Amino acid sequence: MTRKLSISLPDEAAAVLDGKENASAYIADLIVRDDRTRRTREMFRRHGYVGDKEITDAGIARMRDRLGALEERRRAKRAGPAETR
Amino acid sequence: VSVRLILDTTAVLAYLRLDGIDVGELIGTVQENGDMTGIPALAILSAYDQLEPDERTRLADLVAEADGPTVVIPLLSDDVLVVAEVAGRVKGDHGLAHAAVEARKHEAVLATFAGADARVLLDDDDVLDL
Repeated sequence: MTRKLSISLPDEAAAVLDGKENASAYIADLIVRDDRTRRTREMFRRHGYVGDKEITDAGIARMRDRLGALEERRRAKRAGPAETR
Repeated sequence: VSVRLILDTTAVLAYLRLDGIDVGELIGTVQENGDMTGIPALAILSAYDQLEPDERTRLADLVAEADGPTVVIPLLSDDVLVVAEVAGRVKGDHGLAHAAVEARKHEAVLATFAGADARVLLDDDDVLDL
């Protein structure tokens, strides 16, 4: 099911959509992902990750860098032999 | 949606015991990228007896979360003997063995506090030390 909505956006946001092949799908994905993030953060708080244990944007960013660096090393290692063939 | 990260027993225990925030941050990172964190069934079984009642409640909530950031990965019949053989290489640690088998299958990173044992089963770059 889908609903047709009319929304107003700032020029900057509208310019981003201008470059998207399917603006509706792009916005829908952002909304769903944002809602999942909100519910995940709620789950963390429900589990006791509050105060000095709170899962923060800064902590997520730090871990994103760490996981990303590890995955990049894996990709480079796996791509290596194929590129030298 | 793909499984990008696998937790072993040690990582599951740390999350449920609020022992640091690294595991939570990892789960959050993976979710925000649109992927899932996989929790192998045998990692849950291995952890379960070690959990206090409040930690079991937390576990039940974690795995029951509809459309949540984690997914429980079942042990498939085709993998039973593989996991049994692999566990023999890490002192019978079935939770770690199932996690390593699933990490390979999903081409995912394994997060663990048992990095040395995990590297018996996986490449160095497949393991994220907690």
